[in-house]
Amino acid sequence: MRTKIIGKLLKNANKSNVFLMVGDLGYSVVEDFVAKYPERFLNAGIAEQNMTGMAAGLASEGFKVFTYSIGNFNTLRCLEQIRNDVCYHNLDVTIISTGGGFAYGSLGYSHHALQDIATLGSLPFMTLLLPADPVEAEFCSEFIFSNAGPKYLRLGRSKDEVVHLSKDKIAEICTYNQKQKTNYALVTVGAMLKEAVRVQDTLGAKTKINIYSCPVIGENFALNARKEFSGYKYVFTLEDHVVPQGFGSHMAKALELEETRVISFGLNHCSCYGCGNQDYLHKHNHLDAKSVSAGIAKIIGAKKGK
Amino acid sequence: MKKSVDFKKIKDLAKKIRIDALEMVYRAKASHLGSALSSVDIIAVLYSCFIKHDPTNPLLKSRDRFLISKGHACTCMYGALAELGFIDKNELASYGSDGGRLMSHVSHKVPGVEFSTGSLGHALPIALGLSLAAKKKKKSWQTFVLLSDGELNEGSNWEAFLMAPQLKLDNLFVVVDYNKIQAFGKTNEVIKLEPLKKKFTSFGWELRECNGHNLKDIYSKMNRLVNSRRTRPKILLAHTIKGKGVSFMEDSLDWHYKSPNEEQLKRALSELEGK
Repeated sequence: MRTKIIGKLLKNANKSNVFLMVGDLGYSVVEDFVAKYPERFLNAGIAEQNMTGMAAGLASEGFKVFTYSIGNFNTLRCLEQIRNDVCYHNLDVTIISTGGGFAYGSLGYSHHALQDIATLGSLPFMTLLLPADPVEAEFCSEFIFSNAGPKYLRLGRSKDEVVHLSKDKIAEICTYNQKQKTNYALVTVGAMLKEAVRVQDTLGAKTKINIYSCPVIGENFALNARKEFSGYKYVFTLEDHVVPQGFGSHMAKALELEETRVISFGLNHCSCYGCGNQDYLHKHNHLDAKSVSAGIAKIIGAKKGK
Repeated sequence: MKKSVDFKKIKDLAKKIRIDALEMVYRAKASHLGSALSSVDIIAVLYSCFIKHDPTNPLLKSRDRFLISKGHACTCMYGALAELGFIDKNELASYGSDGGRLMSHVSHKVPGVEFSTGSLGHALPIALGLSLAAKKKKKSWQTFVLLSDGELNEGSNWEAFLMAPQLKLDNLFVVVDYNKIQAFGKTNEVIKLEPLKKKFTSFGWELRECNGHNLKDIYSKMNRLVNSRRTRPKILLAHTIKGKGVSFMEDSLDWHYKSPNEEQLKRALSELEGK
């Protein structure tokens, strides 16, 4: 996904006055940009507050600014600079973070981005871009260059595999499979789409469930979500992020006046201790396909029995 | 020193700003009067002699960018903007009131204000971005920032102090309002700042010191910095007195918080008018 994004930056660098800042990270990712546009690149060092404040200053003078770092560093460390300097001034700064969720699993909780959707999603004018795979990353890149204002792009690891079967269905809310007539939808953000596909397999053909992903959570999300999901009895959300104020909360808010029940699968507050890779940590925190399938089956089954 | 500088006019501007600040804080029963009075002379000199501005066109592309990082001292900024003609002086009466735009920390909704501030340690990094933008776009406008001393506790400032010389931002001018009192004590008792001069010079900044209430001294030292050809960011360490201009407010922590009652306002105005 990172390659797609940087490729897009390179392609648009001239016409969009792109300025790329990194927080002393980007090895084997940003070199091409640096070689081609050294005058519009800055390694701001390990100083994310300054990097974000500078980004606001540059953006206010007409640059389309990108800050690049690992998940929590250019988000939580400098949250107030993002809020006060970038968002309240509605400036065109895109925060690119890698390692969304548990993508940097064994590096430990200091490198996990598990509260970023909650914090950044609450900020004024902010659009969240949460691609599931390189295909959605391409779509998010297009969005970035078609829209000004603050944006947060949450990426995974360097070698994210393609999950989508086709590029045709990619939209701000997109279906993974052919939609079936059913009361159930499983809606994901980011890396959880891959897990949702497995959930569908685990539940089996007898339980029909439509799988979705939402690469863009912005000003149109609530309206689009009502259109797409209000016909379902149950919408299950799945995210590699804490449940409070996470993606599930966005969905619940969008559907609060509908009869649809929203049930969120995500992380508890204290779910990030211990070592393991992404798959291990998903399983450990009951976000793997087996656990989520069991959770869905229990709710559907209990409801059917009444 | 240029003969064209009219210090009497600057002194008069400073007096008016002080009166504006006093009346605003009195009416709104607000705080941070001491911090505002501390910065008045610096702001009066900067606007009179150094900051290129046009009150009829606040977003003039070639204007200098001025950021007041100590956003709590907004009354001196709003007073200056009113006296210079950016906003109607009558609007000052709405300071801190419901529905007004003059909130009690500097707001960018007010013409002449580049960025909202209030949380300390924000303006300097933004100023680095502005200065870098001017360099990249080969523009001659300059960036001025007014910092408080208390906010030098903030790590974000030191990230910026490290970075600016690296980028050779010689179009960036910082003034530190060094009144030596912060929100809950003396600066050197809370977190020792000294030796402050050495800190800045060792980081690679070109530094001058001045008496932050002597208009000629402020002008003279800033003029040297502005005319310096060294490719370094510039900093003016301005020694000031919190509450300057009103005897019973000077060098007092209380006036970081208190607003004057009617009798205190009368006394203060009387002192400022020299009666």
